[in-house]
Amino acid sequence: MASERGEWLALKKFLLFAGFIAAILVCVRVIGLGGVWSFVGGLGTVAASLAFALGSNRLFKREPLRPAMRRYMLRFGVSMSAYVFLLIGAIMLHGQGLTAGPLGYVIALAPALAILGSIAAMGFYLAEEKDEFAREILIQSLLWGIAVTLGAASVWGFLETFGKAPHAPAWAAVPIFAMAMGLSQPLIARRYR
Amino acid sequence: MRNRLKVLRAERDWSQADLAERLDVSRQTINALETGKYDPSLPLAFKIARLFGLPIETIFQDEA
Repeated sequence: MASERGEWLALKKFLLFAGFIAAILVCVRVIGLGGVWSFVGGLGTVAASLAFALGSNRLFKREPLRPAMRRYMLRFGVSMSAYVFLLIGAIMLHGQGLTAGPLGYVIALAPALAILGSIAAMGFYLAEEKDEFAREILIQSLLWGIAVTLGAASVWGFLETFGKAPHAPAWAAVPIFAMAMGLSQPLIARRYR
Repeated sequence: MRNRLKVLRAERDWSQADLAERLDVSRQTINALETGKYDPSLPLAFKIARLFGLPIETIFQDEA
């Protein structure tokens, strides 16, 4: 009976991962269609990420979302949705040559503003989370994110300086940071089991 | 740090979720505390002691 439930849970976890990866692949294809489809695919990516976070909380932690986490996911979802619109909008306006004048500053900074919003959401979560163990895990994962981002920036930067790597855009720092942070979290939590 | 949380909880027939709710922490926190791999902050340790009506040093044992 217990093993039956265990197998069922393992299957659900597998389906969650497989579903998430499939959804992201579909969304990337949809973004590639261009035009309005870019917005649809972008928002789909945000929705899939939030659904994945909710699903893994259900299957791995097996308890309801804590209020601070619920607020974080809401803020993150809003800032990432805004990011999708502002980034795709900025690319379209750039394609129409509207970034040539002073308006270009506004267009260029609009997506960055949404990213700043998602960083602020992280800060609010750290300040609002009442559970000290959750905070401990988050802080350790932030340190992993910092270490990986600074390490990657240094390695790439020097390769680039000495002509051994192409130029990398500075905005790549946030996705690298978020990925390192996200991947480190389950590994950190495992140490306390 | 070793502790008697699991025993104290079992004596009262509480699940990890029950204890988590009484202490207003997550079930993950209770699990990490019971394995002895995560040491609680002083305020949480006092809260635990008050909940069980025991002195802190009878719940948490310093291995040194």
